[in-house]
Amino acid sequence: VTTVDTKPSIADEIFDEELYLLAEKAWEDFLEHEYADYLRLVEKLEAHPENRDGADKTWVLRSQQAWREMFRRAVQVP
Amino acid sequence: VDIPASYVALLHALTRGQVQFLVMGVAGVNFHASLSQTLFVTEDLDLLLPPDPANTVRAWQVCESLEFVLTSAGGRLEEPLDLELAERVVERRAAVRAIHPDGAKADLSYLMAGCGFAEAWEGRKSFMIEGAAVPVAALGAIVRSKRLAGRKKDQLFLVSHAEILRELLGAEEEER
Repeated sequence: VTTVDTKPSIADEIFDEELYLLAEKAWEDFLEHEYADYLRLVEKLEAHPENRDGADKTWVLRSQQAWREMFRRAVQVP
Repeated sequence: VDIPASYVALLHALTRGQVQFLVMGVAGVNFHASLSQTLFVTEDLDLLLPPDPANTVRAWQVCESLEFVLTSAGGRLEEPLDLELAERVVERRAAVRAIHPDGAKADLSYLMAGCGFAEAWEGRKSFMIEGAAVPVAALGAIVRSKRLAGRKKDQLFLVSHAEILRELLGAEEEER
């Protein structure tokens, strides 16, 4: 027996057509007005002293793990 | 806070094992973060491999030696993990996911939208992670690939990242 789940996903329910069109418009605006400046900032960050070859980035993994640990230890308050 | 040993061990073992790879995706973006900058949450490590079967076999061997389980298309990668299988995987540019019992996940991929491995390798950065030099794709290459990928989550990511960089670097520019 094959069953098919016909219930729409939460994403489908939330992301209705109107919201989808808004998101599309926002993305097009971003590309037209902000993307070039964003790429300039990306280049600037790449050239930042913190991003020189050989920079120690161990802290990035440590920070992410601290975040995960915080949520792992969360308990529901009655 | 201790970093999950499996991530560090994987990155170290890949470099020791003569595996050519690049960290890309959100993890690659995070490695370019400034100390005062917001990091993005990601549950996996995206690794770009060259389309080289021998290199692929070495990557699989490293993963297996560290107890990562290799999966593709929802199932466990079939044994033996040899050159013949690697040739098929590379030919199809099939993504392979390595999953560790501690929850660490690494995606081994051959595709980065808009950028071949050789080009990405040429522009790479090398960052130190717990004492080992780890090759990371250039931030610009990652950003451009996300734009080309064009998924909704990539678009959302780029808009958010742009906002973070404006706050971080825009403030620096205003101070001058």
